[in-house]
Parts: sequence; C-alpha cells; structure tokens
Amino acid sequence: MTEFLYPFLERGETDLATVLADVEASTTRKGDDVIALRGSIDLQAVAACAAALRERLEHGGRLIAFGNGGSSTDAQDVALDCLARGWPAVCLTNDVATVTAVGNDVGYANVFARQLIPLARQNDVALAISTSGSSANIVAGLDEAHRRGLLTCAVTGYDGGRLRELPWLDHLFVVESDYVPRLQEAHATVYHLVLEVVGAR
Amino acid sequence: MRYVDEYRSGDVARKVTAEIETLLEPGRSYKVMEVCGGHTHTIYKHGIEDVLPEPVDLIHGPGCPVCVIPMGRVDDAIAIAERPEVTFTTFGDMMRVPGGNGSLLEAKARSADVRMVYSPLDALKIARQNPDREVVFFAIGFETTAPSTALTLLRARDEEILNFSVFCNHVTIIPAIRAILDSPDLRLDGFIGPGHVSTVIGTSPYRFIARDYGKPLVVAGFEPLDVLQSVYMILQQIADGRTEVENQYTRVVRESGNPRALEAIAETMELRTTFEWRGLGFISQSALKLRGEFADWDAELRYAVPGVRVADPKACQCGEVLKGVIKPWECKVFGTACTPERPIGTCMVSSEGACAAYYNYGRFQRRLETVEA
Repeated sequence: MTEFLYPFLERGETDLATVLADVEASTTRKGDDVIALRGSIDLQAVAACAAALRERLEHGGRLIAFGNGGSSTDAQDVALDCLARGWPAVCLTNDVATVTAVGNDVGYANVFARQLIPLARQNDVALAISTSGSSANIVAGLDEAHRRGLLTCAVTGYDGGRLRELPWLDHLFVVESDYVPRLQEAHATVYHLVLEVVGAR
Repeated sequence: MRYVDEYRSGDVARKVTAEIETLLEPGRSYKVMEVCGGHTHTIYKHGIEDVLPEPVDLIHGPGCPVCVIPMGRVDDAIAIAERPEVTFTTFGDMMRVPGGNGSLLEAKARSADVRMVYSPLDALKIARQNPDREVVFFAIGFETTAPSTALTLLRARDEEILNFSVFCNHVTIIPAIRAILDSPDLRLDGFIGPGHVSTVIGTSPYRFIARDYGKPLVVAGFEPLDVLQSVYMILQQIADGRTEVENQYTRVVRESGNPRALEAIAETMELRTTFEWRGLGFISQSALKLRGEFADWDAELRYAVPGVRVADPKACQCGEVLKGVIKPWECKVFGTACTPERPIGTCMVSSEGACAAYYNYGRFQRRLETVEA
C-alpha cells in the first residue's frame, strides 16, 4: 500500500529513470547555485586587489597564503598557481611539522601568526581564506601581517564574520552563502580571477 | 480521566525506569532519536528526560512539520497570500514561521487576507461561502495530515468548487529518517517511531531501518508511559542483540496502517522528485505534490510563486537542532534573541518544535540554574 510513497525502499536505486532524474536535478541545482555566487563577485574589487598584489610582487614581495581545512588546500592551490606564474609564494599549511608544533606547544590560534613573525618581509602579501571569516588563527594571522606592514587580503563566506569588522583589511571578498561546498567553489573563482589579472612575471 | 490517567501513573513510570536501569551496559551511552514532534512535546511536558538514567540521551529529530519547512516556501506562501483576490488559510502555528520576508502574520498585518483554520475542510467551507474569493489552503504536515488534505481535494472535485486550491507542502518521514541514518554527524542507537504517521502508513515501511542499518525502532504512543515503555523496548532489543521494528502503540497502529487514508493520498498526490528540508537540505522523493488530475486545485500552478531558496539567518541553528547535533539550549540565540514570542527559527514556533518545548517547559531556566550552581 505504501509503494507509491516510498518507491525507493524496495527498488533501491535500480530504477534508472529515477536515479538519472535525481542526478540531473541535483547537478542543475548545484550549477545554478554556484553560477549565482560567481555572478556576485565584485570584478572591480578583483582588479584593484590584483593591481595591488602585482605591485608588491614586482617590488620583491611574496604571496603568503593560509587557511584551515578545505581553505588550507585552497591556500596551497593559490600559492602553487602563483609560483607557476613565476612569482614567489608560500602556503603556511605546507609545513606540517611547524603547524603541529605550534599548535601543540603554543596553541592552534597562533599557527599562522607565529610563522609570519620570522617569515614576513616588507612588500609581502598575506592572503587568508576562511569560510566563516571568524577563525581565531585566521584573524590572528592577518593581524600579525597588518602589524608588519603587509598588504592584507581575505576571502570569506557567510556574512564575512569577524574579518568584516577589521577596519584596516586592504581587500576583502565575501561570498555570501552559508553552504560551504558552493561558497568554496566561488572562493576558487575569486583567487583564480585575481591571479589571472596579476598575470605572469 | 479514563484512558489517560493510566498512561500517566508515576508509580508505573518509576518501575519502568528501574527496569530500564537493569538493561544498561556499564560505561555505555545510548542515543535514541524521536522523529515525531508529538513525542518531543510529551518528553518535555512530562519531564521524561529527568527520570531516564543519565546514559540514555533522547535526541530530537526532524519530526515537527512546521520546523522543517524552508524559508523560501514561507516566502512563496506570502506571495500567494498578498494577492488581492486571495483568502489564504493556514494552521495557526504556520502563521508565525518567519520567512525571508517576514511571516504570514506580518503579511496579515499588511492587510493580506490570512485566516487560521483547524482543518482543510474549514478552508473549503470558506471557499463555498465566498465564491467571489480565491481560497488557498497551506497544506503542511507528514503522512499524518496528508489524508485530510486529500479528502478535502476529493470533496472539492466532487462539489466542483473551483475557487479553492491547495499550496502543497506535505512531506514524508521515511526519506528523512534515511537521510539521518546516512548522515555522518550522528551516531544513533535506535528510534522512537512516530505514532501518528504510523497510524496512516503502518509499521512495515520502517523495516529497512532494522534490516539495512541495524537499528531498532519502536513505534510509540504519546502518553508518558508510552514513551518510557518504548525506550525500554529499544534498550531491551539492544541488550538482546536484536534489531527489529516493534509496535508499542498497538491500541492504535496496525501493521498495514490505514488503507483508506493511503488510497486518498494516492488518488490525489504523487511524489516530487526532490524537496528542500530545513537542516537536511534536498532529499529525493521526500515530498508530495498534487497529481495532474487535480491541477485545477493546485495553487502552485495557479499562481506564480518566487520559488527562491532563502538561507536561514546565520545566528539560527535550527538545522543542527533538527538533526539532533546540538540541544536547543546550545544554540547561540536560544532564549535570548529567539523566543516563542519573537522566533528567529522554526523550532521556536510550533509547540512540537524542540526549542519551543525546551523553552515552554522550563528547560532553559533549569539549565541556567545548573550552570550557576
């Protein structure tokens, strides 16, 4: 009697038409969502950030990227792409020994700030990627970078979180979404666009 | 009161909890989820959490139909309600559910003709009495309330009442349970099965929970002893190493459910490919829409609705509450910015919502006292 309500219970996923319809609807929905988020990216802000980044790089600066979790792999991606264009770059989550040592001995909130203290030089650029915009180590890292005169850039999700409240932050991109997979896809678009405008050395 | 008092006996409750104690394995905790808002209400109204042993944790699942409605659907409802020719009818608790653009109650304050009804038949009656108005009923609920919408549609067709339509938001609980079982967030030991839904669908649709996921489920009634006995039956299964679907609510629920109600649903409604649930996202084949034969009574076809997805307010953690990942009092805005008088999230609206139940039965105060102590 309940077959019409729960056709999947007995048939499982053997009904090809249903599976294909599900996959199509799911794919279309996800595509629509990320297209809308990508459409909301402020291209003038991208151009301004890229110009400032290129100026620093041309004066001997490096891109220093950092993030947590999926954003840490995005930070590695942007650093590698920067290197591929001939500009010096580093990601602060590459060195597992340092990250775990600082996290264990000093505290996870300091894993980026403590690396920036010896690493950061004049003309460097700090790029933080954070879905929430409120991670303590991200805020602390940008704070340290600002104190040392670096150009500070951030890419966030949700409503921008605590990063939106930093009056000195030079460039901030907020992808206003609360769904992490989609907003991270838009994050990748943001930093790839910035690098596209920066161009090769 | 006869047939009520015997299900609320304190002496019997103490005996059942003592029996539950004997089933506990030392050092083990037990997480049991109820997936019916009526059970959530009973648990807090009668203080069942307070009498259960510490290792038994009741997790409140997505069993409140008002709570799982996404904000975008509320906005769609308001878009229909604000049309000048429309009289929009809805159950009372739905009127206060906030969408992205306020609630139906606020739309009413802006002069929309929004009226509370106790039954879809009341909405049909309004349509019959007001042939110059387009009367829309906001159909919401699980398999429990879908038959009443279905029978109303059949009556509208038979009486040829064409100034009546249904904005269908009926959802089905089985796909939601499956989504929870597939969720990596949760480690559950068993389910208290929904009594009202089961009166309609019976107990057989739950078999996959025991068979495929190895979890016990006991369909339960709504008096405090019903719930306590169900917890006992779940723990007994765990102690015996069994995983089965059992029926504690035998005085009402039959294995095959209510065939007439199921026929009415099947005649008037069919599954949507997918539907959005607050907190659980899109779930395949988890909601109902009107069949093509009832297109003349389908408000979604009759009116253009925005159909836009609206993200929940960031401060609101209804999603986590609905999945049982956090307790209501762990939400950042519980009892402060979000109260039954001014709800931010759906769970604070309906009396079946976990947050409203916590708030209304003093859980918030007790928690504060514990913390201060």
